This record gives sequence, C-alpha cells and structure tokens, in this order.
Amino acid sequence: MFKSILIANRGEIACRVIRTAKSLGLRTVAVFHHADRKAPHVNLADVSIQLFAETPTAAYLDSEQIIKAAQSVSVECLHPGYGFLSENADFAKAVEAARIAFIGPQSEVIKLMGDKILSREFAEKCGVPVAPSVTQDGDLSSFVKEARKIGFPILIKAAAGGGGKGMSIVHDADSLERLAKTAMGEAERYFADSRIYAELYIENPRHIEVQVLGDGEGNVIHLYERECSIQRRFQKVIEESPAPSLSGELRDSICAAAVDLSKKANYLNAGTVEFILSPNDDFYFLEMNTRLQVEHPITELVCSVDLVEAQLRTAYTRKLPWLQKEIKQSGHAIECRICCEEPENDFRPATGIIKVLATPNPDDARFDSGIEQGQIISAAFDSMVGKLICHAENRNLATKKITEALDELVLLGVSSNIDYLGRILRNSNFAKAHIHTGFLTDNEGELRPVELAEDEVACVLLAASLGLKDFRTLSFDTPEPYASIGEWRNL
Amino acid sequence: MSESYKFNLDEKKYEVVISKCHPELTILVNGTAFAVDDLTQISENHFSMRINGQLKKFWWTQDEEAIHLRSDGRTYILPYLDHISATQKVAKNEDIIKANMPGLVVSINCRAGSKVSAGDVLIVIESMKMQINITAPRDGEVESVHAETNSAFQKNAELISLKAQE
Repeated sequence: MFKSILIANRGEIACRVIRTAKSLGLRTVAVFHHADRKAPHVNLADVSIQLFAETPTAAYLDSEQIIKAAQSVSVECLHPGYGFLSENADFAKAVEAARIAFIGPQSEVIKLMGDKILSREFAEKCGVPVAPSVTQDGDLSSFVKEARKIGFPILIKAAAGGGGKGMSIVHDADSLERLAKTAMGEAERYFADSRIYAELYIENPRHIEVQVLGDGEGNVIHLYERECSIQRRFQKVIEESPAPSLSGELRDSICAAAVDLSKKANYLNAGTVEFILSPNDDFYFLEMNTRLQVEHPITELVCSVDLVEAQLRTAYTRKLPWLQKEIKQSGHAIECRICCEEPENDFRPATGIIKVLATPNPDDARFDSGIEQGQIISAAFDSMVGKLICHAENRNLATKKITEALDELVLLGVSSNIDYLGRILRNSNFAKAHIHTGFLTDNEGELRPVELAEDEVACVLLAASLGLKDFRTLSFDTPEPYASIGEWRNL
Repeated sequence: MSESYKFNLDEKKYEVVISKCHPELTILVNGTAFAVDDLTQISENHFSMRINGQLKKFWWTQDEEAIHLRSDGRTYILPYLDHISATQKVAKNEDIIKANMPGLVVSINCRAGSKVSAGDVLIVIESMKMQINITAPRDGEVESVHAETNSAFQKNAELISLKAQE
C-alpha cells in the first residue's frame, strides 16, 4: 500500500479521505487556504500545507502549487476528492508526470468523459442508449433547424458543462433561438467554451447512476445503482440506494450498460455512469463522472464496502479488490445533503458562524462533514457542509431512521436546509417513491413549513425566553416576597 | 418594573411576561398563561422543561441579531426586538454601564455599595415606548448610580458604574 497521500481538496470529502487513509496507515497531507486554517481537514491531517491565492477557491484550483506541495513532502499518491481539480485532465497528467499516483482514471479518460459531446458519441459507439440530440458547432441557424426536428421539450446544455450551468429547457420553437443564444453565452462565461447541444427532454425523468470500479486493463465491476432524482436546480439533495421500484431486469440492464461503457474506456479506478430513466423505463446515457461522487456513502452502506479504500488499493495494485459476484446489495440507504442555505429564499446560500453543532448518535447515522462548532461559514465555498446517511432493512425503515436522525441534528447560527430535508422525507409522495427530477418543484406547496398551532408557538417563545440568562434569573431567583405577588410591575 | 419580552416569530409580534414565580412559574404568552417547571440545562445550549406538564427539549443560542432555537425537529430564528439587544449588548467587563439610546429612568434597583451578580436588573429604562432592563454585565459591587427615577438621559449617558475589578 502507499505510505503517504496528499488530499487536494477541503471540507467533508477531505476529512472523509483522510479518515480511510489514516486507517490504512498512510501519512496524510492536507492543503488549505488561509480562510480554512482552522478547518477540520487541516487538524485531521498529519501534515498541512498552506496554499496562497487571491481567493480561497483559486487556492484549491492551483494545480502547480498543489503539485509542488505534494513534492515538497514526497507523497506517493494524490486524491483529488470531487469538484475543484478532480475532473481536470491536465492536472491528472501533471500529477502523474511528477511521479505521484493520481487516485482516479487516466487523464485521457477524464478528458473524454469531461466533454459532453465526445462522451455521448463514445457511449453511442459502445451501444449504450443515448437520447436523440443535436450538437451546435458554429452555425446557430442550422443548430436551431436540427434541434426543432427532435421535438419539444428540448434540453439545452453546455458541451463542457456541469452543475446546471448553461442548461435550460425549451418548450417551444419560438423561444429556441433566444435560449440557445443565452446558453452559448453562459457556456462561454463559465467554461470558456461556447459549444452547446440539445437533446430530447424527458418529462418527469428519474436520475439513476451506477458506481463502477475498473483496473485500467478492461476489467470493470459495478457496485449497483443510486437514485438521485430529488434535485433542486439540477443539484442533488437526497440520494438513495437501491433505486426504489426498479425491476431486477431493468437494474441489471442499466448496470450492464455502465460496465460495458467503462470496459470499452479501459476505465481505471472509481467512476459513476449517470442515466436518465423515462417513466416508461427507457434509459439513456447522461454522463460519466470520473471521480468519487458526493453520494458514494449510500453505496458503501448498501454494499458493505469502503470506496476510498477500494480506490487506494486499485490505484496501488492495479487489480480490482473484489469479484463482481462478491458485491451484494443489502438493505436500503438514504443520504441527505446538509447545506447552509435558505430553502424558503430560493436556496440562497447562508453565511455566519456555527454557534451550536450537535450530531446524532453515530450508531444510528453516519455524519460526514467538514464542519465543527465555532466555524465560520463564508460565501467562499460551496454551501454543502455535510452529509447525513442512514442504512436500514428497507426503504420505509431507512426513511424513518434518517428522519429521526435529522431531527437530532442541530446546526444553529447559520440557516440550513435541515428542516426542509425533514419535510421532504415526511412527504407522502416521497414515501410512495413517486419521485422524479421535478419532485421538489411539483411538491413545492406541500414542502412549505406547516404553520404552528398556538400552543406550539407558545412553546417556541417560552424556550426563546428561558434560554436568556436574565430571563431565567428573573424567573427562578427572584427573592420573596416579590416572587409570589405576581404582576409586580406596579411596585 | 415590568418583565415583558417581545419577540418576532414568522413576522408576528409576541409578548412574553413573567406573571408569577411561586408557587409555580407562570408565564404569559400574548396573555395566555403557561405553567413552566423542571427547567434543566442539559448542556451549555441544551435545555429541557415542562410546559403545562409536558416535557419539551430545546437547543438554544444567540448572536448579535437573533435567538436561534431548535425544538421538535424544527429550527427557529427570532430576530431581536430592541429590548433584548439593548440589554445584551453591554460589554462583559465594562465598569461603566451606559444607555444605548435616549430615554427615561423608570426605576432603580440598586444603590452605591449593592453587591450584584451578572444578569441582575440594575435599572429599568423606558425608550421608544418600551421598558428595557439594564442588567449587570458581571458580578461586582455598585460604585455609584448616576441616574434618578423619572429623569431623562441622552444616548451614551452613564447610568451606573461598578467598582473596578482588581
């Protein structure tokens, strides 16, 4: 096994990787920007190296500085986490060139899968179903003409995109050209690549993805699927595994398609193949993420594996740690993404100081986070600060368990989506697994907070008052005879 | 002296008043009486209490702008109305207690030489039609009282000074 590792990331995923690396006896090296100097990942690592940049985000995107840091402490491998440089092919190449093992796939595979157009073409060549689509390469008018032929609604996306940027749904021919122009502008701004493409938009689709692991020699296994349909603004909010009400046959074909695609790419290390599933059970390739996913813990709980350990072992030995038949799904796992944001205010990111943080009993729920009490939540980074994950025998029990765990989770001082997540889990359509990517919008009304009854309001106000020290002093330490007179305002 | 605390919850105004402390603590919320007992501080920010016999647990903290509360799986942020912020903004180790706003002295509950504990109401003022408690920022002894009942004062006027700590 490797003896040392640098984690080129921050927050919960840096903590997550450090935990497993330490358990395997690796010396762990963290990198950090000044804004993160007191962050948990810095404390957790054996060694921490400061990165210098004008903005905190720029520090974690500075591949040259990160590689220099890795060389300065002679680490043997580098884990990129997710986001930041994790899907940057040039970075992966530079890491390997510096004779440091990159925990992820080959740089050319990252490049192929990172391009939405090339990866679709590749999937099509592999015989994996893709939705009808048109690519724009220069001429807008011919793009518009071809796109009309797909039929409406159409989804327009940036070729180099991700995270919902440069994406829009076009419902009619009249707005097509205008929205295509907007998407090109956004694509240019966000990704410095104005190419866009249009594909058939499937109404009420589900988002199903498959975890794969490859040895880079054409051997690939899958670790079954994850359902990630509960999304807001194209970002996942709640994920679960297995996907509810999926027939065994459909599950097998989706997993087989993911393995086929990964085998043909000679895929190395952990990856995720994402699919769109239509209401009539047609599935289409969406994209492949060439890194560890945020929602990987649900797979870990359902398959009883440690995916970070599997990544490290695979990178070191170039052999798969398991045979396909050794991977079994057992029970049901659900993950909630804890974000500092205001769900009632269009999910606007919230900032402030975490004044109180209390987490559920670790026997009942896993809480992967990069936060601690007293930490400042700034606008510099993503609003996701942690993940709560529960596992139980079946979906109903897992829902019950994570709902209770969410109630136990206390994060005060900064607005969060904890209450909102609780309302999703208690929603009757969620319980019935009537879920698709438009779930949160469709159920918006039902997901608003229920108005408090009068006595509930009173409880809140009594609690608010009695938390105040001087209110308690007056309530309990008032000397006789004033205390029993009551209404002593006119003394 | 009035013990009236005003809160905003979901943009509605509420008033919490201590009605009596014995034989049991009775608190009025917008005029409705609630019996409170068994208030226990489980940890720094975690409390439990019985309201009309029913056990309630809650997490509580405050910052410069609001009280933050979590109870029964719901989180509440109650922005301060002037009353609380005015009493809470006194610096912890200051010897001189000043008025945060102009007003009128309603009552004085201490005199030179009084031994006081942090949180004790030293003086009650009225400002912007609200009665506001000015509490002791720390344990100590009152050195002098610079105000008189029913007298007016300006913002930043010195109201009470505590004996400097060694």
